[in-house]
Amino acid sequence: MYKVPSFKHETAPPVDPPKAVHEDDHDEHHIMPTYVYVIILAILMCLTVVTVAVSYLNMQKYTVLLALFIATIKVTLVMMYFMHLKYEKKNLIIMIVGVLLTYGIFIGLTMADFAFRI
Amino acid sequence: MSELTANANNLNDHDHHGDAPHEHHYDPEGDKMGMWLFLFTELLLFGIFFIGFAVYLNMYPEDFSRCSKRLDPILGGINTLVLLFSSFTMALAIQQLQKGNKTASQILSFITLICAGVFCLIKKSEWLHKFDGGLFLNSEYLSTLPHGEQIFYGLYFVMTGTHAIHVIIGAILIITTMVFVHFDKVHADRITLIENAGLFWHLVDLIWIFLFPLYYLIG
Repeated sequence: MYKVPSFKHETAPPVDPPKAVHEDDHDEHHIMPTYVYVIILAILMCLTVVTVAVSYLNMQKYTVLLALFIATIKVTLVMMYFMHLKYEKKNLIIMIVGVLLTYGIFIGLTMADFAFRI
Repeated sequence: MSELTANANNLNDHDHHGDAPHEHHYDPEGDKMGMWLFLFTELLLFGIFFIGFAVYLNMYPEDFSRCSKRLDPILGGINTLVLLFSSFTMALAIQQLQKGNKTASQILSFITLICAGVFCLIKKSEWLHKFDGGLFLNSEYLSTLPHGEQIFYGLYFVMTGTHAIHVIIGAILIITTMVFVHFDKVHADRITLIENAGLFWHLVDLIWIFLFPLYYLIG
């Protein structure tokens, strides 16, 4: 009996039909389901309303800090989900973190000077 | 050996433009990284503005607080919601194109454009309100105000103005992308143009997310 040689162990696992001709994209182009976008939008809008509402309370200096804190959360959500950073390669994430750290040094050292002048 | 020369000749010939796009010309990861490199420069551009704002807020807290009260947080809040929604529709437009739904993607891109228009209209009405009050860059009335207030309004017009220019640039990018999608130059297998336009649009949204509380809500 002639047994057809099985190539299962030698070849790569079957690729999806026509679409996946690009080599490395398939994992990065993880397509997020629509409901994720909707949920993130809802959270973002709620946080905006909270930010505005809090500003009507008289908290002086702390209003700014709280508003900036909420803004940071919103920015993180937009970057992770809308800009897809949650599913991007590590080297891109490292570049972004690097730029943000650089900016942190800019603003941190500037304010370390100005905030303590008499 | 002859195969190598044959390939080199092919690359020099440009004859192959009539064929379907070659995969080796398409570098989605490079495209995306290039766009992010550009976004870093934009982040630093607005970042420097924010540092200026931080320094002068620290120097003139009462002036800044007083000026902030004269900006309408409801209008600013509506603008924030409009931009957040437009980021949502833009992200969905990309997702729909990834799924192959060209019409849905175009409709969502168009809604994003409408949101950009609404944002600009609200911004324009805010500015005109200021201009009517004699408050514009280099105006006489502005020169009579306390020093801190002059700086606040100077920063306000420059930052919101630069941001509005970026909204318009983003809208032009989206229109361009819509044209390319329409002619099937951009599709699920060659998607980086609309992804990059989306990245730019999200950046515009990010900047506004920080701009809004700092200008409108410190009063």
